[in-house]
Amino acid sequence: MVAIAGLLVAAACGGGATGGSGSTAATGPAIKIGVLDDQAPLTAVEGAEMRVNTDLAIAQINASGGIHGHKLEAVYADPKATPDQAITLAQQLVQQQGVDVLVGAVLSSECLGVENLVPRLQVVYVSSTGCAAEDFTAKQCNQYSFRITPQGRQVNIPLSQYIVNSYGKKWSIIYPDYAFGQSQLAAYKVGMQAAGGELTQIIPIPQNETNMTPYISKITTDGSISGLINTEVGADLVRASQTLAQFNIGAKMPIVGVFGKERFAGTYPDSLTGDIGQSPELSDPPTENKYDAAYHKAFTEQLKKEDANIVTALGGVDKAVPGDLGYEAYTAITSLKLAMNQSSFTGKADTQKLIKAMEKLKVKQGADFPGGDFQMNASDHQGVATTYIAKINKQQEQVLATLAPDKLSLIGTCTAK
Amino acid sequence: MALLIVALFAIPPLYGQFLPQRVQNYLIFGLPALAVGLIAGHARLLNIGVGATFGVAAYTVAIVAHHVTFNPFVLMVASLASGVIVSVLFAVYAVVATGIEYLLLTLLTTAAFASLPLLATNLTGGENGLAIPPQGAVVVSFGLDPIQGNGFYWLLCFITVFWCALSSYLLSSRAGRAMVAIGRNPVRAAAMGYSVHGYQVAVTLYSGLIAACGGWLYAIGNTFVSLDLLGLTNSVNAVLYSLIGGVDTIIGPLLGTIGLRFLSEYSGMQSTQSQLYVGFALLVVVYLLPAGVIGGLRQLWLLRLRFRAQGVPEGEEPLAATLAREGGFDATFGGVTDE
Amino acid sequence: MGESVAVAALNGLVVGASLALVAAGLSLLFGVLGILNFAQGDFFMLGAYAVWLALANGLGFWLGVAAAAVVVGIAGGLGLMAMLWPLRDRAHALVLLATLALSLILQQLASNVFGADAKPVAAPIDARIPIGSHDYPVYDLVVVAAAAIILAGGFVFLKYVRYGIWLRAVAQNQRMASVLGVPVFRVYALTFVISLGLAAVAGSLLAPLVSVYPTVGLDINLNAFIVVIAGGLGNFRGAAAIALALGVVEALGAIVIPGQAVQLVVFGFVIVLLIVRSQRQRVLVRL
Repeated sequence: MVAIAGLLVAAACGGGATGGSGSTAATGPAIKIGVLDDQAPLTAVEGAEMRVNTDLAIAQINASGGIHGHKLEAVYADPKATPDQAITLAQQLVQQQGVDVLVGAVLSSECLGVENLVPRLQVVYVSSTGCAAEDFTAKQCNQYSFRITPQGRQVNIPLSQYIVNSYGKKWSIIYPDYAFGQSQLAAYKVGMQAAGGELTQIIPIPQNETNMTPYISKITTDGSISGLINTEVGADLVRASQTLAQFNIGAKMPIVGVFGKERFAGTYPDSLTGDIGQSPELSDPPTENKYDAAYHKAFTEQLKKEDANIVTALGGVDKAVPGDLGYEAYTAITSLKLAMNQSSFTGKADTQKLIKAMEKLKVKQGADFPGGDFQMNASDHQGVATTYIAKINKQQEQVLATLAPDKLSLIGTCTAK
Repeated sequence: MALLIVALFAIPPLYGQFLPQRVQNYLIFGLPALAVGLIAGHARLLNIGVGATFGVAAYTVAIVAHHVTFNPFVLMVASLASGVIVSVLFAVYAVVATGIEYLLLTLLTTAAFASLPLLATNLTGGENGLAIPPQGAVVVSFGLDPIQGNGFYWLLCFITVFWCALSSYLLSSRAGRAMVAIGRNPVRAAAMGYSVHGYQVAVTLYSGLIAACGGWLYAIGNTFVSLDLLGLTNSVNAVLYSLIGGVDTIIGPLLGTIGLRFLSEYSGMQSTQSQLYVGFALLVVVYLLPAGVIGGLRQLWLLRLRFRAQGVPEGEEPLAATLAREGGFDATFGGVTDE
Repeated sequence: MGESVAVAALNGLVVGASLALVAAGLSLLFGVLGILNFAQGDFFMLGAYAVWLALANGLGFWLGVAAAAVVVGIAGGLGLMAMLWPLRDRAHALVLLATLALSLILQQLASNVFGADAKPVAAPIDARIPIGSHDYPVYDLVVVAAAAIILAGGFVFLKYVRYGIWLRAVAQNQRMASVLGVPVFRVYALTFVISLGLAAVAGSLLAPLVSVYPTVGLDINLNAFIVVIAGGLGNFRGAAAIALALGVVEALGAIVIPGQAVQLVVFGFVIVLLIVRSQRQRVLVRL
C-alpha cells in the first residue's frame, strides 16, 4: 500500500510580506492541494520552480493563519513528464489521498489530460508552471479548470502591435513544428494582420532538432526583413539562440520572443542581448516595485530550504530567480487562497463555491500578485494580467511597454461550463 | 491459479481506496507486456513494436470517438482492427528479417509511428494529445465508469484472464509447441516440416491483437491519448515489464508490469530521484534476476528440490531435482538466448 | 536560389559530419562486440559537459575536447566494459536492458550535478565567412574538418595500425583471432574506449551547435542508430558515408519539404534499405 506522501510545510518562514494581518494559529483539518510536479530531467527547471514557489506561497499563507483557520497542505506527485502518469496520479491524489484541489502538470499534453478528467473527479484544477497550450482555455475549457497566466495569442497579438509599430512590417518566424509552436504561429499571424504587418518568412523546426543550422541559415538577412520572431522553448530555445548568435542574426535585426533568466539558470547568455520578450514577471524586479522585491527575497529564502537538486536545477541560491515560470506557480496558489477565503472553502464539498469565487477574481498588484494586476475571465476561466514588454541588455531587462490586463486579447471562444 | 484469479477479482474491490483503479492501470499495461512475452519469450522474435500497436489502437478509439461516434462496439472493432493492421507490418518484418535486423526494423518503425500524429494535428491533436469528450466518457466503456465503481475493473480482469488462459492453452497445444520449437531453432523446425514463417506471422498477429486490446482499454479507461503511447518509450517499457517479470511465462509480464509501475509511482511520490531508482532496479534485475522474477523463483524452487534430493538414491529423486542437479535448466535466461 | 542551395549543401556537410562522428563509435562497438549501446548518446552528453566545465573553469575549449576524449573515453569505456563484461554470453535483451538502465542513471545524475537547464556553449571561433547575404559560421566548417580528420584517422587506424588490424580480426572471427595470438581482451577494452571516446569528442565538438543538457543524448541517439543501421551494422566506412549522405539529403530536402516529413522520408528509406539488405546473405563484418 502506498504510503501517503505529504509535504507538510513549515509555517512562519523568514520570508517577505504576506497578505495576512496577523499570525492567528491555524486550526481545523488541513485543506489539501494535490500538486503534479514533474521532476523528470526534461522538465526539471519547470518542476523546480513549481516546487519552490508552491512551498513559498503555502508557507506564507499558513504563517498568516491559513484559510479561515485551516492550514494548506501540499501533496506532491511526480508524473515524470508522462501524460498517462499525470492522469493516473491526478485520480490517485483525489480518490486516495483525498486532495481538495489539483494544481500543476507541466507539459501541455499532461495538463490537457488532467483537464479532461477533472469534471468527473469534480475538483477545481488550476494549471501552474508550464501548460502553455492555448487549447486548455481556448477549446477544451470546463467549469473546473482554470489558468492564471495569459498565454499564446493573448500576449502575442498586442506584442505584434508593438513590434510592427516599433520596427517594421515584415517579419520572419521560427517555430517548433508541433502543437505549441503551431498555435504560436497562428497567434502571430492574427496579430501581424491586425497590426498591419505580415509574416514574410515562416520556418518550422522539427521538435528536438539537435542541429538548427539548416533552419537558421534560411533566415533572410538582406535587409528586407524587419525582425525575427523566435517561439522556441526549453533546450530548443537555447540551441536556437546559440545558432542565431553564430550566424550573427541579432546584429542584423531585432529578435523577439526569448525571455526569462530562470530558463538560463539565472544568467542570460551574452548572445541574448538585444532580444525582446514579454512576461507578467520580470527576472529582476524594478526597484520601485516593493511587492516584487519582497517576493524575490522570500523566494531566495525558501530556496535555501529546498533539496539540493532543486537548487542546482535553478542555478544556485545566488543566481536563481522565480521568473515567469515561478510566478505561474506562485500565483496559482495565491489565486486559490483569495478564492478560498472569499468562498469560505473548507474542502471538496465547497468546490462549486470555490469555482464561483475563482471566476470573480480581480486583484490589484500586491503581495498576492506582486508582478501586476490580475483578473479572471469568467467565460473561459483564463486569466489576464499586467504584462511587460522588455529588452534584454546583458543581465538587465529594460521595460519598453506595459500592457494592462484589459489590453490583452481573448484566447478563444470556449465557454467553461 | 484459481485462487489467484479469485483474489484478482475480489480483493481490490473489497479493499477499495483506489486499489481497483491502480490495478486497472497495471492490467492495461500488462497486456502489451504479455504480448512481448509471447512474441519475444516464446517465439524468440524481439519485437520493439508492441507500443506502436498499442498506441495506434488507442488513437483509433480517440479519433473515432472524437470525430464520429461513441458506440463502444464500433470503437472496439475499429481499435482491434487497426492494431492487427499494424501487426501485419511487423509480421512482414518477421518474414524478411531475422535477429538484430528484425529488432532494428521494429525499432525504426515504432519511432516513425511516433511522428505520424504530428502530420495531421487537426485529426490527432498533435503533441497536445486527443481527448474523448466528457459526454462520451462512460458511453465508450459500455456504461461502466472507469473511475467510479468496480464494473470497469471486473471487465478488465475478465479480459486479462481471458488472454492469459487463451495464451496458456495455445502454448500448450501442438501449434504452441511448434512455435516454441521454431523460436529455439528455426532451421531444425523447418527441417521437421514446420512452416517457420507461417508460425511467426501467426504469433505476431496474435500478440498484436493482445497489444491492441490493451490500447483499446487504455483509451476507454483514460479518455485521453497522447504521443508518448506511440513512441519508443512505451514499447521499451513493455519489453522491460516482460523481462523483469519473466519473459517466457504467462504471469511474469503481468507481475513485471505491476512491480515496475508500482516502483515508479511510489518513488515519484517520495522523491525527485525516481528515475535513478528505476535505473538501479533494472540493473538489479539484469545481474541478479536475469530470468526475471518468475524465472528466479523457479530456479530457487529447483535448487530447493536439489538440496532436498541430496542423499536420495538415484532413480528415486524427482525428475525436476535431477535436472536441477545436473544443471539442465540453464537454457532460459529470460527466454531469449543466443542460440 | 543558388545561394540557398550552396548554404544548404554546406549545412548538409555540417549535419552529416556531426552524425558521422556520433555513429562511428556506435558502429565500432557493434561491429566488434555486437553491442547496441542505448547509452551511447549519454556519453555524447558527458563529452559536451566536459567542454562546458572546461570553459566554466577557464581552461579553454580545445582542452575540454581533449579532456572529453581522454577522461570520458577511458573512464567511460572501461566502466561500461566492466558493466557489460558479465553479460557477454547472455541474451541481447539483457545487454539492451543494462545500457538502458545506465542511460536513465546518467541522465538523472547529470541533472543532479549540473542542473537540468540547457547551457549554451560558446564556439571557440567567432568568425564568419560571407556567402551571399549570409554570414556562415567558420566553426561549423571546423566541425566538418575535424570530423573528416577523425574519421580518416579511424580508417587509417583500422587499416594499417596493428591494434586496428587486430580489432578487425576480432570483429570477423573472435575465436580464430584468439587462436592466432591476438590479445582479445585488450582489443575489447580498446574498442570500448575508442567507441565512447568518439561519442564524447562528438559531444564536445558539437556542444556549440546543440547546447548541453542532461537529455541531449536522447535526441542524438535515434539519429545515430538510423545512420548505423543504414550504413550497415559494424560498417565503419558505411556509417560515415551514409551520415554524410543523409545530412545533405536532409538539408536540401528541408528547403522544400517540412522538417517532420523529411524525418519520415528518412525513416522510410532506412526501413526499405534494411529489408533489402536483410534479403541478401549476411557477409563478414567489414570495418
